[in-house]
Amino acid sequence: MNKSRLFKLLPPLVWLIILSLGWIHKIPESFLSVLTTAFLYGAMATAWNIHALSGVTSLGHAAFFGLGAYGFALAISKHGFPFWTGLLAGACCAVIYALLWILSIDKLRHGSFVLATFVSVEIPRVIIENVETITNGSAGIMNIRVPNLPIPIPTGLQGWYVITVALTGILLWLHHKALFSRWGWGLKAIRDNERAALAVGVPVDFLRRLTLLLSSFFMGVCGGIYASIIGFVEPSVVFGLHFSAIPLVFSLFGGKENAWGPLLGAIILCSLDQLIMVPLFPEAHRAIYGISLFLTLWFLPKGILAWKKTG
Amino acid sequence: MVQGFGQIIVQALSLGSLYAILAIGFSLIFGSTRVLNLAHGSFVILAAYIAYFIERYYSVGFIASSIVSSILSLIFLPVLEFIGSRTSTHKESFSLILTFGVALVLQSFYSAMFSSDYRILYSNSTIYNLTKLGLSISSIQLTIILSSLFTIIFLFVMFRKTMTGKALRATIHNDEAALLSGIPVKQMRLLAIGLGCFATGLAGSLYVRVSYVHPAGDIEITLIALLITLFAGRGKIRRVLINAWLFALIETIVSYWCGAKWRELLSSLFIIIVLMGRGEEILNNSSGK
Amino acid sequence: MGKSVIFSLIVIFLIGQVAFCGQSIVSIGAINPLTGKLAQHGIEVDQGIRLAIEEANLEEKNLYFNLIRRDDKSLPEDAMNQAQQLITREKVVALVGGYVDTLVGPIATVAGKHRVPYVASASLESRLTETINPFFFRISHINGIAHPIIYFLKEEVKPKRLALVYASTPGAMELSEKIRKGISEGSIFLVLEEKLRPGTPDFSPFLLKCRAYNVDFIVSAMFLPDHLILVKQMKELNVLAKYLGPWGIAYPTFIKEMGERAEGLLGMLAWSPTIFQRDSEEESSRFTKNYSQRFGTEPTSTAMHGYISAKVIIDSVRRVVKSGHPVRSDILADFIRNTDMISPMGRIAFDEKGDPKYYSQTIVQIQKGSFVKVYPIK
Repeated sequence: MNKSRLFKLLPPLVWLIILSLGWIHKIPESFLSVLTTAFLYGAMATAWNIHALSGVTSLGHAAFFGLGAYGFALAISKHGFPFWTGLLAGACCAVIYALLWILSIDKLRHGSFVLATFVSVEIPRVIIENVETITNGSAGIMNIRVPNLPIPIPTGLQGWYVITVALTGILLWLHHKALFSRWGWGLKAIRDNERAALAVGVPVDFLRRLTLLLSSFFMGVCGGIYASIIGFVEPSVVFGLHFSAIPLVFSLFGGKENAWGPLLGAIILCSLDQLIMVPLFPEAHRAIYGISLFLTLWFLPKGILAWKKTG
Repeated sequence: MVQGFGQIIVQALSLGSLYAILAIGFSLIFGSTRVLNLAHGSFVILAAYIAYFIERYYSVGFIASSIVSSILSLIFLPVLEFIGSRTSTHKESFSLILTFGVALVLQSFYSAMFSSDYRILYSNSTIYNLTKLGLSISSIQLTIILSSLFTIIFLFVMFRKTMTGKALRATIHNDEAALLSGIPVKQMRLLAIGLGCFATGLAGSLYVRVSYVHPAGDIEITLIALLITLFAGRGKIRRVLINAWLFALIETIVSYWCGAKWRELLSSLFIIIVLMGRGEEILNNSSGK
Repeated sequence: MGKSVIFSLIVIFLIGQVAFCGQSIVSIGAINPLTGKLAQHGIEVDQGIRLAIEEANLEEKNLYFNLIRRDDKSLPEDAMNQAQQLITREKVVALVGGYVDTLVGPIATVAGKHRVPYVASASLESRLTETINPFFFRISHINGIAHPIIYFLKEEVKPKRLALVYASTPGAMELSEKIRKGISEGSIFLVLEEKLRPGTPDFSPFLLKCRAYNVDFIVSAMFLPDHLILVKQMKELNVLAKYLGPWGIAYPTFIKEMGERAEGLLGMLAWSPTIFQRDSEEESSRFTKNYSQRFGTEPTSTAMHGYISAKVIIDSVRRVVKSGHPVRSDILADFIRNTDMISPMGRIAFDEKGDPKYYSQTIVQIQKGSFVKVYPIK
């Protein structure tokens, strides 16, 4: 009893320690910047996976990411919003688009859902590219100046680090709930067999839509944070296929059915790539990355956390 | 304006045929093994490079180079069979990551082997002018249209008329039932992958005449193949061609009348609307389980 | 992390063994897209930089330049991370390289924050220098492309019906904007404008429209691969307009792929083995010779951009050493700001924004497989 309670306290504790690293000035900045990217990707992968746990695969999360980034950039640089409201505005744009998904492609499954989500990224992208008076068109928005934050967190890189780690914490908690809570069990039933789940009274449509809305909201937040770190947005960058595909890779690599899986996948692959492979092999790092991805998945087809029993 | 329209149809037909030929190999492999092969584009690119170098340095014609690159493309058969036999127990998502890894490795390999230059094959194409209709069509466009038509008809006849084809179709439809009724499923799967690789090789040798190849240019090809295949549904060979034509026609017409900047928007809307319209049907025939 | 520290210690130790007494080592970081979509030109820039550094190390024995190269995979966040690493972990005194503004911008931000000078090799947009960053310099600018085009169209070609096709990227957008404004006062009639995504597989709708409007001149702000398809389809659809592509046409690889079909096309370059600024003939031919020997390919205008951006840093470091100051990044930045040198691409000096004062490209035509200068003639 005592031991299991300790076990429950462990993850939040680990997270708090990671979070507090942001206040320590000794951490080398190069390390911190890679970790920030890794945590941002981890947050994206976790957000993506919350939706994927309802048994469908989306290749369209770049739409939420891009809308979040654009909503944030426009709110900050054209309307002078404060940082947090800007993030919220971006996330709301993403959620509105998710609502459109619910209204249109809610009934699709499997291949056709993948395809529909995949092409749906083009719709906001083309509109943003061509409505130049509002969005600045294909030129994007440059020099996004982020206003000062009203809470006592460090500025600059450490600030980004704290924000992304905090976001990851919220997402980890949600992801954990999506796996092991009451509604998490409902999701598991949907993944295993949708009709059977419906028959035993699981609110299939409600749960799936809920996960989509949650997932799009956080994807939008990630987009906003990305825009503020990079300092500009451009349709071809923020709506890139990269942002739809990478969460999928990370969460499958880490293990889809483990609360920490997507995050760990992102952290391992990102830091390996940025800190070791690219510096050591400026030209051939892609091949090494590909081989390690292939071999890991070959021996651990359910992700690197497969050895850990999942509920 | 009528003259312009005729030419648009010709352009759309040849573009659509290119899309179809890029998608056939992917579709066959996806149908028989459920591998969503993200390295498809890389495979096409290898075939394209082979065709390019054979024609540039040995100055042989299209037929010879396409045969060589199709046959050499069979080297991907063991890889796909390897991944396919493993995937059947672990669903599509697993194959996605494995083939993504393969694509990354191949990309590095290509830039080391062939450099990062863009390559395109310019053969001396004859241009046939149909002056009465105000149309013109080049021999390359004709080759592409005919090759894709021929490939589709060949596969269609094989699937419908021959015993092997019927067995293949049964395997694609339901491999467990096929196994129970005495069909050698494993051989059938090998055959399908082999055909897929062969079609991929053909696609490569055609692609390099119409468009450029580049080590990192695989993703566009994979996406076209994925799009056409998913749009057609699993195991629907004939629909691959029809959908590819339709898709190219929409793209071309939108670019002509609304401006190219709206092309992607309207073609995506079109796909979503069609999918919504026939959602249930697709649900049944491309079920992922 | 520990491994690379040990590795660099070994490298430094070995260098120390070979070096003469009092040799000082200056670390310079280069970030370019070596893989991914932009790899072709990214590698050219990278090779130009490598050549400049290798030459400098041969020339002068008691000043060793240690070049640390990184790949940004054509992704802005990777460019940012690598810049961060080069500055804080490798302790470089200056950064160089960069192709396309989406990759240059993030590097410039990081460099500015850490007060490390950054000389960008290929960056165009005006917006990048809107907010003044005293540590950012670049040797190219969009005006050096837009102005020659506008004057060429107005004074030389005087087309009656012009079509403008441009890629949906920020640089191409700005260029097309400038051209549109620049020709609006003249007698040139812009009949057709089209924005296309780079990598479009089929340009025939645009070309059919060109045919329908009887266009006699096409300005195409697309990239090398797009030109390959566009020009091919122009021949197939019998579009007889003249064709100017500011980017991507004036490359030996383009001529190699196109063969004689490239004849008569117009392109732009800042330098080529046969077209260079006065007073730099010797340096130009030495660069051509060394580059072909070292990398086995003919140098391009892009490679020259990389070479010169590295040269700017090398020259400034030498001046710092000569003046007796320590080679520190803030001091180096001051010396870079005062650069005034003659290069094969012309005179190099920076204004208060870090933009080049004298950058201007030449319009060339492909004639018998080589580039012939058409504008400006003198």
